Amino acid sequence: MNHLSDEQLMVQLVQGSRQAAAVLYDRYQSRVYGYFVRMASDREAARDLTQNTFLRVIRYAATWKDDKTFVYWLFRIARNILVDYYRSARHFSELDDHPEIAAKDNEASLRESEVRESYEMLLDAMNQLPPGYREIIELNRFQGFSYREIAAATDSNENAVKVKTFRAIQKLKEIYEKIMVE
Amino acid sequence: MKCEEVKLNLPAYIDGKLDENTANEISSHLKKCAECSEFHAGFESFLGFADGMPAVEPPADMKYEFLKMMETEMPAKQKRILMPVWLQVAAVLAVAIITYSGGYYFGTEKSRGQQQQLQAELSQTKQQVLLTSLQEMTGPQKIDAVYTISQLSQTGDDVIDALVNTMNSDKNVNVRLAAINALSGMAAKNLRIKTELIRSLSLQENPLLQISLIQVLAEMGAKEARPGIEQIMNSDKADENVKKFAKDMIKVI
Repeated sequence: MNHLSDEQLMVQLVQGSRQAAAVLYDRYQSRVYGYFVRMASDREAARDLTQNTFLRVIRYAATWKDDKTFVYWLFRIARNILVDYYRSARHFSELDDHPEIAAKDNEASLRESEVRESYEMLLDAMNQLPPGYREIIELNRFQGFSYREIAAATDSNENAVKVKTFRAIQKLKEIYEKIMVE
Repeated sequence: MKCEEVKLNLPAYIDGKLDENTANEISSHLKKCAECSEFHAGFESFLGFADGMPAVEPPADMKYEFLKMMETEMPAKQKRILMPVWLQVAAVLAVAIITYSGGYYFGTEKSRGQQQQLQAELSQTKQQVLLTSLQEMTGPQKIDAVYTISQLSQTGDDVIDALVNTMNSDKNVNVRLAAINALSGMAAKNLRIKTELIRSLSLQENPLLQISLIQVLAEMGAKEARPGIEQIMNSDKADENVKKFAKDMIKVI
């Protein structure tokens, strides 16, 4: 089944194939988990949100249409789950709880630890962004979506996404540079 | 192109996602505008750094957890091989003939020569169906095949012989159970079936199969089955639950 496209796997999943669901999970687990880790700033919550996303893929499989692109549909589900998560008021203030970047080696060289620290500061900076800006950066830079795809996923238009993307990156850069000098 | 517009297009420009004309315009502007050129350099450097953020690895046990969750969301169902009816009949007959042949060879006193003759009579088509069906049929698929044959009107001796042999000798208890049920459904069409079911009482050792036979025979009102059921009731080897069931059901006959 690994040779099948995402959309072909969805057809199998709709017919009840657990194996198809497992292959899709393998393909996108890391991306979706990373999405929630960066967006929710809570590794434990990211785990639950990731599992819920794939469970919803199974539950909503009956609504799958052949003209859809699976990855966009998947992240639309993830986004809806994230919105529900944000609506839970207590989660808005969890900006200090940021996940550590996984260390490749416990006995890392000085250079590697500096790099790791830099990315931890970047995550800090991401956490300080407004959720809308954070989402744009997540979708454009970490998930590789085009402006058109982001516009479709966020019910916006391409030009607005272009402007917002630039402003989000600029803001992230400013916050990061501020953290670096603190 | 104005500086503000150049800056708004920088992410797509750096990613190489702009059309050629727009990209060329921006390149020209950057060559002429020192402020935008400096801005571009800093922006590109930062984007390169941000894009290099390592992937966040999920915990190792997440997939296992998901697979367990999936069992609730997607209960296992037997994958059915959809065969046309004629192929189903041929497959069942092929399986039945082979199991009958096996039973014939092991279970009777007749010579090996007769068994070989029977096998030789299998046509190439039946053999191909047999190979296909044997390769593909698991126990559950055999159960499907057995039920399919019981839906058809065919109750010829060869089919009944094959189903009886399946009931008495298949390795899979569930397949034997399916054969019992299939035969009980056909009993009204062929008097031999009742006799075979009664005979099977003395052959079965599995409690589930014994209970199933007793129940089927009681429902049929088969008085001829009383001696066989009494034998189970009085047997030292029989399971206590089976004995109790036999005692209850014999009152019904």
